[in-house]
Amino acid sequence: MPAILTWLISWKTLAAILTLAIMSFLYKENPFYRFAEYLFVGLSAGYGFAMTYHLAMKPNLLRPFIIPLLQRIHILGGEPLPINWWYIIPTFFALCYLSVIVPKYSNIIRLPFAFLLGLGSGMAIPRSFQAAILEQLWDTILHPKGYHGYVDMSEKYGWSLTLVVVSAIIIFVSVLAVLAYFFFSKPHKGAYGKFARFGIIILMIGFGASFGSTVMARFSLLIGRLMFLLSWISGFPH
Amino acid sequence: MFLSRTLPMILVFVMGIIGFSLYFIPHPAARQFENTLSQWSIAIGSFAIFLAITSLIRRYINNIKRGKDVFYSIVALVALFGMAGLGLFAGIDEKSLFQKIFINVNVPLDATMFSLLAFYVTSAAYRAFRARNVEATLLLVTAVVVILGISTIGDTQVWLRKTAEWIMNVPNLAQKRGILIGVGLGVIATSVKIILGIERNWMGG
Repeated sequence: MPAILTWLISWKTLAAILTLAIMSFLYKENPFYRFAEYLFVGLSAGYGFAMTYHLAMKPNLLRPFIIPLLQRIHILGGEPLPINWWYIIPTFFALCYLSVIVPKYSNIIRLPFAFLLGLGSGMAIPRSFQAAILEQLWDTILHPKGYHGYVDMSEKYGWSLTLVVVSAIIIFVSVLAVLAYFFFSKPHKGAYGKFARFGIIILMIGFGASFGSTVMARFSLLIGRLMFLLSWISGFPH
Repeated sequence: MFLSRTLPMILVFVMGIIGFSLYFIPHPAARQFENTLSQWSIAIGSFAIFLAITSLIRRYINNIKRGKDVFYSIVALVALFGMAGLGLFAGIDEKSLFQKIFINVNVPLDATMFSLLAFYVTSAAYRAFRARNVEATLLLVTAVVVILGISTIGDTQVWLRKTAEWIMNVPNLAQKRGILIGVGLGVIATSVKIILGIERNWMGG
């Protein structure tokens, strides 16, 4: 096959054409962009479905219960698999999703939601308390011996001990100020109001930093795509 | 009424109490039961994808019926069924055609779509970021320092990089931590309301 054809009929060329199709949106919406957009939606949905089937449905429901059950009633053949009858419970809840097909019984769909939501909420209470509150408070508290969570800053960034200590104090006060700002049961007046205003300042600095790093992340993606296009063009046979 | 409201409420309460209690029982049987419940959750949750896929297919079929975006809807449907069929029947291992399509089509499309946001985010920032007051000025200055500090300019201007690092690790960390504590309290409050049946929005109308 001629080199130019090998170059043209390749995954890289396909990826480059689709990249250009998406980028064409910068000019205005056009048929190439729409084609790429719908292709992306379709492929992503298909990918999600296949991955969910293989990684979630098959090991957690089909293999322990549904496949062995179908084998027992001679719908499926093959080496008989052991059946776990307890899995009749998740199978029942999973099949409840199909009730949307019959509008009269569509309310049954609330049962799997209730199972997931109830279990999720129950499990979330202690875990959220541990991870989002206790751990965060523990890392914020100033320790008399050393500075928990900040020691690695001096190692990682070469900060002096003074900077580490000052930073630890700033973090401690700032976290309190942010929490004070979000506490609306007390009017933001007087000294408390000033402290809450300091919280707003910290929030703004944080939002600015988040915005800056988001912009940089997007730009690094853009640079990545441009480099890919350059490498594709440079592969053109001379 | 019982099936549509009372039974889901009882189920939420019972599952909520079980999920909460299991955390405090260190017995191996309880750990085993928790693992089983997690597996069941994954299995039940995974079936929700049928809802998503059904709704997507229904939407595109409606488009085709109404003569709206017919070609694009066919493209999406062919891509959906083709990709799902490949994954289901030909496997999903690393060297499969399924993964090759994902790496060479999905990944570039995804990355390019997100990279386009660079232009829109910059244009939005140009229009929205004006140093009107102290807060807006702080936001603007911080964003500029972080952008310059973590870019190649930061390699030559060390003070800029160090300032950006300090902003990311101190005030930014404090802000995120404050918000996270608030979110944690919110999660706990909402979970308690759901388990006790005070919050019922999840049941729809």
